[in-house]
Amino acid sequence: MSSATSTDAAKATAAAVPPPAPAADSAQPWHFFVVASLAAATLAVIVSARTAPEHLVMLSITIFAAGASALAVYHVVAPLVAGRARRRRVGAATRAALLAEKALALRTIKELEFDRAMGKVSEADFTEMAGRLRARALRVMQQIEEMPER
Amino acid sequence: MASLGALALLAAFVVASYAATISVVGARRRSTPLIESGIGAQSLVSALLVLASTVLISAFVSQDYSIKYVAHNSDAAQPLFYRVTAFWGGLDGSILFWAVLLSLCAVVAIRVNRETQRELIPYVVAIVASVEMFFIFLMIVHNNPFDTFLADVPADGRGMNPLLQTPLMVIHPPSLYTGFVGMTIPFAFGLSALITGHLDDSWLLAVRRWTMIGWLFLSFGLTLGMIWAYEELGWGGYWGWDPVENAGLLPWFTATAFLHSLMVQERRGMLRVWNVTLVILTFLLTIFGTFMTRSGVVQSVHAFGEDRELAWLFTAFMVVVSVISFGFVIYRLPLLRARHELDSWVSREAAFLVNNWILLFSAVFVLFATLFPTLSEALMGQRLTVGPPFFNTWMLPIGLLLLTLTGIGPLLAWRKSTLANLRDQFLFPVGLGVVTGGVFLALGVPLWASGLCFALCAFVTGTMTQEFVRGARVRQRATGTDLFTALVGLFARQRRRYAGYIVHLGIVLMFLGFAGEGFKREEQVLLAPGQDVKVGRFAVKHDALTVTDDGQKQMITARLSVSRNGETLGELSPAKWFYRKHESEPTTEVAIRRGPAEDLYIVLAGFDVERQSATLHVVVNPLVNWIWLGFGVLAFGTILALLPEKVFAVALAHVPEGAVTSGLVVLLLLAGAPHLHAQHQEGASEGYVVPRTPLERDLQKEIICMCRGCGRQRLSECTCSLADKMRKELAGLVQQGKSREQVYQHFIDQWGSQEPLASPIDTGFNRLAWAFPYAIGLLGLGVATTIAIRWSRSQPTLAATASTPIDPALEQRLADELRDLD
Repeated sequence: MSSATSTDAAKATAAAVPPPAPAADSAQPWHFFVVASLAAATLAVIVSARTAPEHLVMLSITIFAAGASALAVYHVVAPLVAGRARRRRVGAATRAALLAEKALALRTIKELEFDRAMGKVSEADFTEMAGRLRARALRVMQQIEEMPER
Repeated sequence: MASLGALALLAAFVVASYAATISVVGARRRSTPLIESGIGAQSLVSALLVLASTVLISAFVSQDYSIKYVAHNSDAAQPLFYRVTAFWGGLDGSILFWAVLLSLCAVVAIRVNRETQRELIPYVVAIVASVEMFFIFLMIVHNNPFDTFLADVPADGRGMNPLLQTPLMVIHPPSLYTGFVGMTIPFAFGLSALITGHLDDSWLLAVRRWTMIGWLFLSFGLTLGMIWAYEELGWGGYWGWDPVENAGLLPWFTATAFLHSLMVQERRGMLRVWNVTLVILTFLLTIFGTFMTRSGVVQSVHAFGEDRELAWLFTAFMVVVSVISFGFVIYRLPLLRARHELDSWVSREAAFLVNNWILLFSAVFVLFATLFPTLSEALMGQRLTVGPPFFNTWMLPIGLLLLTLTGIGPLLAWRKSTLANLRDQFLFPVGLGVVTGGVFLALGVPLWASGLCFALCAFVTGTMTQEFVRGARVRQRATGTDLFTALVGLFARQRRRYAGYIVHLGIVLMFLGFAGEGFKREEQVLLAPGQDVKVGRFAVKHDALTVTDDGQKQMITARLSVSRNGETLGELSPAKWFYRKHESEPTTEVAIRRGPAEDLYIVLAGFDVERQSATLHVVVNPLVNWIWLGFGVLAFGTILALLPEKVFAVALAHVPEGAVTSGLVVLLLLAGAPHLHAQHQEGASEGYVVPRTPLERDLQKEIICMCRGCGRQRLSECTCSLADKMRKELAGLVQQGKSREQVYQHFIDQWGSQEPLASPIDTGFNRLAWAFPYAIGLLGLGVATTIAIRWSRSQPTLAATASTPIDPALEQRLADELRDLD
């Protein structure tokens, strides 16, 4: 992969991450829910009247599903109450989307070149179709260039 | 427990309606918090449905018979494994299972495409949440799996249908459901693109992968269904054109068409309206399939039973979806116009057009033929049967035509193929096909249809081989590596194309298996201990009949010695199992000796314990295992196409030279693995009547069993007691010297309609059944031709892009990036 493409990919990754993302080694909300579910499942298994392994396994899974529901509730409410700093803008088209479109155009050009090498497309047809695809790729690259970092 | 499950369902419905509303409002106001809250709500729906599912499975595991669904679908004697899988064994649970699968797929799809399809995601959430609301609504108002007995809670359950207590039936429904819900994701993205007007090719990026996943699971589900029918239903075949089998096939046709036609849109900017229409149609057909299985409008061995109220709910949903979806297609037509023209009829895009026309014809034909009995009953008051002979009349040539196109398509050039080009590309594959066909003709194989099928399989294999060899040589020249490394490199750089070719090779193998049907041999015999029967190269000797009991069921087993060309192969033991609480529905344990060339397939059709005699249905099924092998190759190709490109890049960077060749040798050695030996089951009777004349044998295939519990099997196939009675009756009529027409008339008079006939007689209203395929085929051909002519007349619209000034530095960067892709 060229340096240009790598740079684009890095920018896309940067754009995809929320600005004030917590450090990777700090506690995340889902950590709390996993620990709470584990504690609840342990407690339930200890106090449960049933002792067959299948019952205890199903009990634990049900408690984990309840924990996942609680985590999902957090994800419903958190965006509504989060401060402005955590909110992201809705853009017309994201860098990631443009990069995906560019990748599609480049891949199609390579397939066309391969067709020509296998003698499946005439030189004139290749020039016309490749020209069209190159123009499309260049247009997308131009849009990526003009896009602000944020 | 039941209250918790019911509460989770209610909460899921409320949250799904919140997700749908907040997402649309968020998209309209361009508010990120609202959109993100909607995405969170979609995850919450999923978590709540998972919670409801775990509650239901817990109820099965703990045998909580206060819940009606648990009491109706399990009992104490049922092994734990089947108690867990009984979750999706009945109607109510299957709807919950469907909803939970859909919600989980949606969570993954939304997460994966959240950044690349940011404009579409809020609408995708809203559409998926709306579909979920429909299914949850069904459960809340009509099919609640958490309904409880108010009084008289049973001490034990009724137990699951014994036919479903097999590992195949455990995997088959989840696979089909995953295929069905997988098609909901492309629909959600397609409709979102229509709503937002973002109809460039980027929505196809999100859709292609999900369609392939859905398609793979549908193919897997259909193949498992075939294996189940082959091993469990005991009639010697694998596809009976049952309405519920057809329900899975319908979206498979349109999804296959879409996977081909989206390539035309990507490459040439054509078929844009068509592609979005196919996505909508595929989704509608998945819902229609569910409707057919659950409403009772068609009779099937797989159906859950008649339920008119559910039928109306499904109909209303389908009407609403159709009106909204096609309404948006019409509204967005100006944005969907084709960008380019059809330059020649001898081009790849024209081949795709024909391929799409045939696949859509197949879908419409199968749909019409499946519904024709219902149509006939509604309009004429006469119930009919449209069975395998009718379907095969049409689907055999259609299948061969599709197989031909599989070989032709890759050889044609985009835009137009010249005469020299055609000669260069077609010479080897056509030569191989002609030589193969000639050899088979010389061996005495009839040209129609087995000989032609073998010739076409050779033609397609020739095409694929040529493509691989020429492609590897091109790559070898470009990279300077050895041929095998270049071959692996093809997958790294041209993954979609070559993985697609592997899928086509899988299709060829499956067709080889279908062609084997033409050489099938079968015998029905009544044997006393010590007697034997010869079928093909096999001799089957009846040794004894044993009766055993394992507490859950009573088992009647025939002990048979099998030899081939005088060489002893061992013992086979076909059986009948009578489960407690289901004694009237015995299951038939088919004994199968598998082999790559042919299967020996034996069914215990009837027995007399006192005399120790057994009536056996012995079938030699040539090449049948190539169908399952073909599916394996098809799945392998699809998975290759789904793998990320970096997997191949890593493989190429780390595989030492020569390792590829060694790997191929190992694969070839593995291919020579020893024969498998399996034994399985189905349902039966005690007095099988063996046909004595060719007419009686033919009529046993042209008249169906009317028991309504066997899935409309033909008399030659069904082993229930009514089928016995009908066979005896038929034998009596043939003995009296009655003609075929007189026998038909006898059964028509007896049952009051043509329903006992496997195909409707071509007179009166029934002529519609025979004329419709011609009409729809010609209509489709006319529409495709008109569209193609219009395209070919439209003026080229390039130049505009050529005249746009381009930054030379950007052009240089494009050239660099393209070079780096090598």
